[in-house]
Amino acid sequence: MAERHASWVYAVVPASAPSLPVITGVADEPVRLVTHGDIAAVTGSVNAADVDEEAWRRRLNDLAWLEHAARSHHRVVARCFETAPAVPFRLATVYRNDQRVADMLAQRDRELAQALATVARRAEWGVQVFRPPPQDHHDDPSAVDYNPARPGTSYLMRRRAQRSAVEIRRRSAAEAADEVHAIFQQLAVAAARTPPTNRPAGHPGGQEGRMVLNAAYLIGDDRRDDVAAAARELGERHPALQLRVTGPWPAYSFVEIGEGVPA
Amino acid sequence: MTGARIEFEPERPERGLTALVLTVVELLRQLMERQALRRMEHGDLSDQQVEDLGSTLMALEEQMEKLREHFGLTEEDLNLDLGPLGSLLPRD
Repeated sequence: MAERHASWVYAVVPASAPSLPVITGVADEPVRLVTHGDIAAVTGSVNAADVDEEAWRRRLNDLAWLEHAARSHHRVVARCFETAPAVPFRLATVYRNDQRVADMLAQRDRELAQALATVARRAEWGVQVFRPPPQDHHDDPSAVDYNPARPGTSYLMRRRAQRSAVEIRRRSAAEAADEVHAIFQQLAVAAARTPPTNRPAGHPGGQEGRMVLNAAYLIGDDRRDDVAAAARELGERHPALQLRVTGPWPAYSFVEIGEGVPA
Repeated sequence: MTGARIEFEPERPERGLTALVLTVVELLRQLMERQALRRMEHGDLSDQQVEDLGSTLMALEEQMEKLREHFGLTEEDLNLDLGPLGSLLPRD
């Protein structure tokens, strides 16, 4: 029985982009361009039976496969982004065939051209700020006088001092997060601040400290030195905080497009 | 993908249950402590009442520590991750 193929779209690039890097996609398939006018979709052929709705439901629970797919998808998007402006498509944006991909390009060509203009000569930078984990409060003398005649009162006083110390730390970390955000926002043409994600240490994506800033910035390539300088300066100004700056990334947080289901 | 979970290990089912019970007790203890601090700050407790409350809460904390040690649980084990709501007990 002949295998039916579907078209998986990774990204949209200008049709005039320099030749596509030699790279394979999620199904180890070579990727190619489907072109319409000035824009082109970076596309690969995958087995249609692997990406229909039922297969998807099954695969959403298959963490190993999802990880492989996400990594392969990102690898293709990232390679495109290295050589030309690229509008990333959401993982698993799949069309029945190349004709449908061309139809999509025709239908959305204005939106896509605009998205390409938005990302051209710009990149996404991720910035996260963590405040350190608390010290063990049991060996924290907290400068509260211990009164041996009133151990219960001393205990409550110590707890109160600890709580207010925690409160101060939390507030100053929140203020530092706002400052970091303001500084990167000045460098950026767009910013996306999302709620901090906190997972316990030792779990996937877990960390020791508490995340107080989780943001992405779309920044012009001509300001890369400024990004590095800002990261350095903020790190020096807030030695107690952990500042994590990552990038340059394709502009996932700003122009990602896709239906997410077979179309 | 998931946070701290109470695991019901098949060979030691009582461990998960113990963690759950201790979590609830610890939550109540912390709520009482916060309430005591609030009342102390408002000045509506006599010195003796502050002393009694403090001693009770301190004893409860010591008990809790012993129980945790006995069952080999850490403070973090007693903290359920409620996803977007954060954690059940304040992390710090």
